[in-house]
Amino acid sequence: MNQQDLAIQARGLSKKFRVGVRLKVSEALMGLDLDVPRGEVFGFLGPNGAGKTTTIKILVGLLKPDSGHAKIFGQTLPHVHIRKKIAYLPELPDFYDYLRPSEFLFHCGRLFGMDTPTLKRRVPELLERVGLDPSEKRPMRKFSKGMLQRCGIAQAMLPDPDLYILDEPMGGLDPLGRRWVKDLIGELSEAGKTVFFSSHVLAEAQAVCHRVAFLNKGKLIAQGTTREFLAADAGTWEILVLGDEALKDKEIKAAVSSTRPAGPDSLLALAHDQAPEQVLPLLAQKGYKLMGVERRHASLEDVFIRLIKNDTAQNHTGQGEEKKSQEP
Amino acid sequence: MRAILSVAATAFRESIRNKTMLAIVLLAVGFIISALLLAELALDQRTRVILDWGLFCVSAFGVLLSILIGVSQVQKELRRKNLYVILTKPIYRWQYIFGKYLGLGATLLVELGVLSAALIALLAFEGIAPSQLLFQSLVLALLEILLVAAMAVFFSSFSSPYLSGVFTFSIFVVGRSLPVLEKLMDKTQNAAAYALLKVLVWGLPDLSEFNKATRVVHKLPIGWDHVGISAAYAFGYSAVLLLLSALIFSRRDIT
Ligand SMILES: Nc1ncnc2c1ncn2[C@@H]1O[C@H](COP(=O)(O)OP(=O)(O)OP(=O)(O)O)[C@@H](O)[C@H]1O
Ligand SMILES: [Mg+2]
Repeated sequence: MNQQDLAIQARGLSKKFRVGVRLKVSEALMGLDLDVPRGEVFGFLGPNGAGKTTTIKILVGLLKPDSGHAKIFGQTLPHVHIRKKIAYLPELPDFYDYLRPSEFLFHCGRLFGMDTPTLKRRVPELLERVGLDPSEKRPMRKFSKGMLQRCGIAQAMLPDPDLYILDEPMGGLDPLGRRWVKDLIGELSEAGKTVFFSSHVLAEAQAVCHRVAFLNKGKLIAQGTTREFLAADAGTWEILVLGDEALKDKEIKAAVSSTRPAGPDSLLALAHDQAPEQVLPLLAQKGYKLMGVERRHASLEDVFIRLIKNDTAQNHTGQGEEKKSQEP
Repeated sequence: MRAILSVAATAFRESIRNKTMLAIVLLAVGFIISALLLAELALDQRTRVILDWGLFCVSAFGVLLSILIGVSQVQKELRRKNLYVILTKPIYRWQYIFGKYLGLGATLLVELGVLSAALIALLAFEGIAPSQLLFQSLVLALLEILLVAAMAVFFSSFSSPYLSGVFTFSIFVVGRSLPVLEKLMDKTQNAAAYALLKVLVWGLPDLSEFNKATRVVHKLPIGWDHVGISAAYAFGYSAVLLLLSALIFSRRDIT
């Protein structure tokens, strides 16, 4: 891809932390490469402790990588002037104790270099847009997590930047709030902005991302378009059986990938490469009553769980061959 | 410049509205007023006791506030990721440090103003007019407090709030008794001890010159030249500390 078309380009980012009195080294990132095209919504996914926040902090210039480099809009970090074009939201933000949200936004706006007339117009407008009362008089220490998250999003949007780097924008939000963030990301994308965000809410990520990357233990395990990932994953079959006896049946447990209760009944999930015909005779023979056989479409969540499990297993048995960013 | 001022204004708002600091200021005013009680005990030396105790309270609580607010300024923001948002704006980190210090200075100026007003009101109540001497010693107290605040900012640019507080307070205590160290240095026989004392005397701020309460009590004049030199010393020393803080802070990882 042409350099000009990339909003973020990272090459070989590595970061170690020294922890504890004995300064034990923990490798948070190991040679991470990332390409985020301009104008796309990019989901940065991975389990807890994978290194997402560390990557984002390097991208916005809070941390210096031990090796490797990152470029934003073709410029090397940390470049103060490029920061006007970046909106950044930290994970689980918590701001001043005694400031009102409007005062906080004015402060952020001034740091962005915006003038007072613009801010007088923009601040109430944005507070309204993120669902806060522009005349809110309470100090921010009395705010709930979700309200702080909204303040954080509002400050990021102040100068209407081209690139949004959001660390878990849906963290701390209720289902309505998550839906709202998803819609907001959609709107930003429509307006031609680049959005790079980390998330654990995969259903929402699947709905808005053009492209995703999966990170595990400081390494990128896969990167590609959402469509490719979903197409490569054909989905799995699920069989619903009356009653909960099937859950305790050892023979059935061995025959399927997993079982779980579904209300008073049992749900049998088949493995990736399993067809229902392989299991149905056994069920019939043992006299179980079928309630339904359904094909579950692939979701990013399935892809995520499969990728992370495989990666962890490979690492565990020491068979981990050269793991580059494999395209699906 | 606008960035520095915005950081300063925000720091000022945040610390002047702080309830804990307000409580400490009120407590300090209470302590100053308690001079009346002490004065009752010292029948013949009423004025002396009120002045002595009053100036001591202004200076002691001023230093306490300066250390408390100074060490919590940067660290509080860091802990709650506020700093992440601020430092990723198009500003340099040295602007942040200088803005913080300005806001801190403004807060301390107001708080010291309140304490001084309480002392002057108390004196007026006793029928004592405020003298130039009193004013001069209050200015010296303010200068000392600003220097201590710069020290607090310096330490908190690289260590935890608790450690910063301990460091700043220790240096304050040693700085106040620097002349004692100098005398010790002249007496000592041990070469290593001599070298250590020499380094301390040379490197640490001499705070004894800022504390002129006894002169006020005994009505011995303080020259304006002394105030001027002390101001230059305090600002010079603070500037060096802030430059070092900015340098350290610009290089460190914000985690
Ligand atoms: N300041 C720090 N000091 C020491 N270790 C750290 C520090 N920050 C992160 N780490 C370590 O680096 C690794 C990656 O952490 P990071 O916060 O980037 O994960 P994450 O993907 O954001 O996880 P989560 O989804 O839980 O937010 C973890 O093992 C963590 O313990
Ligand atoms: Mg994280």
